[in-house]
Amino acid sequence: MNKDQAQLRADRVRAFQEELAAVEREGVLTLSDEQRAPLWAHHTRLLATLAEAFDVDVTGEQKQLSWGMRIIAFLGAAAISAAVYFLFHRFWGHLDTAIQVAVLVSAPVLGVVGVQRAARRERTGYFAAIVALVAFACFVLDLAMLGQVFNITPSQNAFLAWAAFALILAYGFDLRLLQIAGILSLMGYLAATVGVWRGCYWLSTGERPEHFIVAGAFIFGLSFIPHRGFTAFPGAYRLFGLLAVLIAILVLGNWGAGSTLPLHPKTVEHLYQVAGFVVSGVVIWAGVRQHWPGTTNLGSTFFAIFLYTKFFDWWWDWMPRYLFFLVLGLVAILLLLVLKRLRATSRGAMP
Amino acid sequence: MKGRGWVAAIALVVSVNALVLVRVAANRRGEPDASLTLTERELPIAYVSPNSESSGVSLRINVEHFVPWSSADYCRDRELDPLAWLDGEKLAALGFRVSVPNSWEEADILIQRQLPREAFAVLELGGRAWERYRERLAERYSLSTQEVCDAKPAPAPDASDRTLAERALRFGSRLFVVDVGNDPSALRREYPDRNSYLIAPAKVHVFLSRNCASLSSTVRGSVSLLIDEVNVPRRLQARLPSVDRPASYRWGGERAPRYEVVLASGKNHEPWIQEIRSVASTP
Repeated sequence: MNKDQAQLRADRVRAFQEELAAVEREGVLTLSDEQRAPLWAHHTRLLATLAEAFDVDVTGEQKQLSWGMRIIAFLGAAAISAAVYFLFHRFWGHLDTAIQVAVLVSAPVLGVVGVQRAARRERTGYFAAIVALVAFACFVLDLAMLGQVFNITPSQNAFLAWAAFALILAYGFDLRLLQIAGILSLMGYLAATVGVWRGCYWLSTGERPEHFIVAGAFIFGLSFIPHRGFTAFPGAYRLFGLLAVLIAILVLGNWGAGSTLPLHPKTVEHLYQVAGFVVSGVVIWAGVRQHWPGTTNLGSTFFAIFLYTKFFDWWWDWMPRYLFFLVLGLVAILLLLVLKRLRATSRGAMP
Repeated sequence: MKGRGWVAAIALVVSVNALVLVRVAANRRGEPDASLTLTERELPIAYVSPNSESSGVSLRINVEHFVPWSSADYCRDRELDPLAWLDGEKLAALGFRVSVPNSWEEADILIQRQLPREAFAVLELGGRAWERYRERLAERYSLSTQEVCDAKPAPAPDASDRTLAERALRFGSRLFVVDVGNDPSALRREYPDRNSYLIAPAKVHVFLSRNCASLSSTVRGSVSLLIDEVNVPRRLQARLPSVDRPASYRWGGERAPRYEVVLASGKNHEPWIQEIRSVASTP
């Protein structure tokens, strides 16, 4: 069992206790003291064990605080990473080359040792996440500055090294923040490599959003690798992979000149506008079918964005503003009715 | 993986750094591919934003030259353009599509939308390209040798083209991009003088130039170096007369050169500074 699974179990126990109290209040069921006592004792013991072993949140207040702590951990890690970057920049010109190299290499190594220590001492993982993100920033600084010190030709391969480092820490210490850093680095590497295969300079890859469609599809594919013990990780691969694909389609639907297709920009835009509706529809369908709530929400959001973008193209210039927004509102109500009917159908299909 | 992740992460950091350092050593081992003695004209101290807190010092490889704009095609004057040799044939050899369709719209889709390509550039120091540029510039502005010698450093921002030409001839870079290609070995065979020609990784852009008079379009290219600044190691920083960074970006030398630099380039065509020497300068 990992922390996510432990948290799910604790949430189920809390939900069960609340529901039991409700049905007792409504007089549907009343447990005798002999029945209630061992059940209560079992749940209390179970929650204590889970809290002890995985530091899970056993009350609603704890859960709210945990979210706050996650946000603070991220902001703290970002601030310390920036401090490391500026500290090195401020003094590196005064150091001999050998010392520069020693500092650059030892910083991420010390960072990794720090992650190991933090993870051992504090089970919540917040401090380990902060130190891990700082270690990642040190490794990014390491390769970037070595390139500058020795005048090395820049290449996309550094992104592969950064991705490997972040993912090793993510899987080694169950850190989702580092998984995201790894996914973004891997995406940068893949998109740039697709550009290089097509003959262009790797740093220009951002000018062709289609390269990110390929990278996003690859990242999405990683979610199908079995992740025993890392239940939350496939969701992140799905989310960021699909996000890259849908953003690229959205950009190309409005900027046909950025496409690699040898077609007129307007034709490209029309193609990607259609693709946007089809892909976001498929994403919603897959999300519902596979019980991926994040995927369904992403698909719905992009479906609405594609729809509203199209309405803007068609009507903004000639329609009175009040009418434009009225149409948007009516379309939203129409979508709501369609979704409501779908929901009712799915309820009817329940056993 | 859990618990052993830190060992794998440290192993990755050490091995990636080792790879980088082995690559650097391989680049610098043995005889350099090129070794050029340049001056402040070609390697001015790199511009750093006043807000930057960086303490590093770099020299910029200056291959930019003063070229007046031509009113005919809103492009740099073809006669003086140091990259006039970068024509359709050369660009096609690099892999670019260069046949220009009749309509401007089609040309925009097929030519302008091509992304830059990575290649190798040949940089020539004080050779035929510089001689030709110098002669044509002097001829264009009827500049005498005395006028060039009397050119003032750092003229006013609104200086005339003639003043800028004087300054370019006296203080500007003598380093010119004279060729590009995909194969650095073939370029070295073509330009064997290792003390005059530096081969450097570069990216080549393609664009359409439209002539307003003839209403015709031609494919042209531009070159930018992938390593356009060279780091100055601390042991050599003291040999720079003073590390006074330019207050703003300038395309050419600010003054008569105060130092000369031996710039070497290795097997990977990555440069490094071997030596910096002071030179006696006139104001």
